[in-house]
Amino acid sequence: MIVIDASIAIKMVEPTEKESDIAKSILLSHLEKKQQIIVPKFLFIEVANALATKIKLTKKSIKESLQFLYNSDFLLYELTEPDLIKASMLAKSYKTSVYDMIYAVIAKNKKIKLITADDRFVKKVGFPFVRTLTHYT
Amino acid sequence: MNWVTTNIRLPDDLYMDLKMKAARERKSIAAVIRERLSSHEKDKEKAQEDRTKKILKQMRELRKRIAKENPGIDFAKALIEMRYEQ
Repeated sequence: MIVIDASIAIKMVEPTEKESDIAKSILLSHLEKKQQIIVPKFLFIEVANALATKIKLTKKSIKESLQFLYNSDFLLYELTEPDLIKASMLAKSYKTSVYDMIYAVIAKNKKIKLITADDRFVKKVGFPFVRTLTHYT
Repeated sequence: MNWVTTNIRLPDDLYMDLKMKAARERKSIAAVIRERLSSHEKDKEKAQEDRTKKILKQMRELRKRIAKENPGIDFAKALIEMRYEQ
């Protein structure tokens, strides 16, 4: 099992990038139940926000991208109060957002890897279980 | 192949169905149960494969359309920029 963040999920609908193909192979492993993907529910909100506000997509493409991600059957992680407190403490220490840190807390709790395309976050925290997409393969 | 002998509890109507099927097909009840279990597993695997193919097809079509709408845009970069703007 692995955790992916929104920067990886959005790559699953992004065309023609080399890294998007790595994201596609992560999705394939998940669908074939070789290595399942677990995410917090707010991943979908983060992706939706980026698709609607930062990328020039038609309404149809936004809708279908989100439907596609929902249909991919990611396992959903239910955040608990201790998770949120832990993420907040770590975010304060490492000067990151709580949102970004929640993915890392899930990975730490489950003793699995977090895959992200956010190099800055990886460098800031330096957690051994947080990997960028290129270092994951 | 190693075989294991076990006991299972079945509702009586299911047991009667299996017994009748076994009699019709001149097989043992155990053989009928084994066939049903194996066929159920195959159906599940086939359904899973079909679902995977459907999702990947949806992904290919979506990516093709998005490529026309947004050539060369790095979506992850845009999302990460959005994170750091907050």
